[in-house]
Amino acid sequence: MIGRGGAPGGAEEYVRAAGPRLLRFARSLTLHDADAEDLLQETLVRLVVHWRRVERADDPDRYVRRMMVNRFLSDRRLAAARTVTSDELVEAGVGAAPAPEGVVEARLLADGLLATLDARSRAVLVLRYLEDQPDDVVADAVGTSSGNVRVIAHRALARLRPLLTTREPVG
Amino acid sequence: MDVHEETGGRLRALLDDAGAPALRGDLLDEALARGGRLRRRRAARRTVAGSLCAAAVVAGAWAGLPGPGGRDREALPAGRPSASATPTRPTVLDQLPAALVARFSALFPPTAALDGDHYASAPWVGTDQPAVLGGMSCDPSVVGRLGAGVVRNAGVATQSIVRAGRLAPTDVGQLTISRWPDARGWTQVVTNTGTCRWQGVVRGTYPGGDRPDRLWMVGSDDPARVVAVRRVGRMVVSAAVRRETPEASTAEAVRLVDILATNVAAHGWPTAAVAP
Repeated sequence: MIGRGGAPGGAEEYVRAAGPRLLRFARSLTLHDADAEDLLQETLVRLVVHWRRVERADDPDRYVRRMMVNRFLSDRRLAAARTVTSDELVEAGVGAAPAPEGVVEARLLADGLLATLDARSRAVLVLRYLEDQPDDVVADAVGTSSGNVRVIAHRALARLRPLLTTREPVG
Repeated sequence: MDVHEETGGRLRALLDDAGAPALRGDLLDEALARGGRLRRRRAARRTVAGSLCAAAVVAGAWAGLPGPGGRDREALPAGRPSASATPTRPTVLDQLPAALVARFSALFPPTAALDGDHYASAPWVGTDQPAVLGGMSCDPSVVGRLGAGVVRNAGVATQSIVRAGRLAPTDVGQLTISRWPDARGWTQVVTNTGTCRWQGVVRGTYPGGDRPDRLWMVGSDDPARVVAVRRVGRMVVSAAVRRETPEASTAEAVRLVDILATNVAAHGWPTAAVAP
């Protein structure tokens, strides 16, 4: 069945159901609304083009997450030269801001923390703690071994810990 | 509990609290449409390639047919304009809905914000125009032919700012708002790879420091001619300004482009393309 604009019907159904969740994932990776929309759109375009492969995968979500992380890491490599240092974000999000009282504050704080990490470490933590994925799935998405995922996560959490412990527990 | 797992738990709670960003429905529509178009194009290429191969085998001419993945793609008619092709999408100025023109027009600063200057006329709204009026040229002899992977803007609105003179008004600035199907529009503007190219200006450092969503151009033979460009999602806004001194031009360009960016961001502009 062909859906809107020539996309297979199954793809359209999947995109509409998964879109909001994937945008949240993209936003946590990119830390920027417009970049997240771009990342989501590029991923979805590829998803539609390769829908037959996605459909055949045991776990389409896992396949799509991998597509998105690949794209994100590849874009980050290209943009590395123009990446802005995150110190200002950290100061704004952690050092000076009041304890999070709402979504905006929590997002600012999360952005500030995640901005201290390199792209791959950020992807690992977002897959682990936002998407609640086991290490083998995280490893598959970022293209490394489960052991290396644990090492990356350990180091990233060690970096975040002093930043998080300066605040009251969230939630 | 392991200290790092405790940190992970707090990060999880924080990410939960951060909530989900709002998803615009047209973003999904556009992704589906773009993906569908690419699928059709790929399918057409496969069909044409298959037909050519079959015909060649029947004619006993297999040896003369270029191999897959090689130069055969250049020979295929589908999916890419030929070397002599001109841009195929027609200008749709006369097809733009009046409501859309009005929406574009509302994004420009009011005349009162022009510091004594005024607009030369009503805004011009159309497509296939430079993303930055006053700094780019779309002359085919400059630009060359439309290449694969180049995206066209889906709508451009421009305003010329003039200053009253003794004999005639003087052109002192141009404002442009362009809408693109995706982020490639901005990339093309920055890397100078689109259907229109920078002309007579060179890249400078944005006042206050370069950022990924800002671009600064300065007249190559006139430092008092400056162009401030900003990205707002899939929109690109620009202010090309010429004043008595570079400092005055800089201040005015930054002021005007900031107004445009603020208006566009506040407007909640849709991302769906105007043109087919």
